[in-house]
Amino acid sequence: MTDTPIAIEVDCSTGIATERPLTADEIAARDAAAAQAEADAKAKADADAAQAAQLAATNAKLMALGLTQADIDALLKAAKA
Amino acid sequence: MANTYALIASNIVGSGGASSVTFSSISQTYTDLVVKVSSRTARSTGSAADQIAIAFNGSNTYTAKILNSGSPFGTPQSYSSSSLALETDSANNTANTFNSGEIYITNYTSTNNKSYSTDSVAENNSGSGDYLVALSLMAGSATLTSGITSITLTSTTSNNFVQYSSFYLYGIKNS
Repeated sequence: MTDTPIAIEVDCSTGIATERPLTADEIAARDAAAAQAEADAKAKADADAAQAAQLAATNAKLMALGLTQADIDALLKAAKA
Repeated sequence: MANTYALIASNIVGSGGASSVTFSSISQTYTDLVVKVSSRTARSTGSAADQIAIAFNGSNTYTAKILNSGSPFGTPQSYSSSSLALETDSANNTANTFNSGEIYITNYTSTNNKSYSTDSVAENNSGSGDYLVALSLMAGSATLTSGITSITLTSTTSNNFVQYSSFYLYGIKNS
């Protein structure tokens, strides 16, 4: 393994593949993009988890009012239609 | 209706890995293009799979609508993105598993926006963890005013494609 990331370019007119190490600027941009992507992924996962928790809490409240799970599922299905 | 698939070029990543794979100098003699992908990245952060972004002619100025199953709660999600293209296996997935993905680009020589679609699945056989199986279907539009002459694929988390990741570019003619 090499420490410097490699970019591969395949020239379709010749079929020749060329490998070259990334420049310092490309590596810096890549590192910044990686950090942003991981932050975005975490934010999305957190939002998904919050939404699921909210849904579960709402479901529990409805069942406490006497609705069955079948009632709740029917309501959700109608709301999505 | 496609009646010919011609292999234009291919690449299988070597032992050093690769941060990106580019097909350049693409001939303008076909009607559509198809890229077949079997890939895995070195991403080990978190517990999820990884994604691949596409750039046409060095630019990723496109919009995309995505249907993605990649939720730990099993609920399909639909959302817009300007970067995501394909789900791919990562180092978080089961060892030695690779994704299956396809990018289909219609009328790639057109001077108008280019419509394209992708479908992909990242395999994971472990019994726990986030994003056990990541599946996505995507429709996108690339805002280009010239034909596509190059396609670059990179990990959205900037991780390397690992050895044996493979990429095949096909040209399709409609007659």
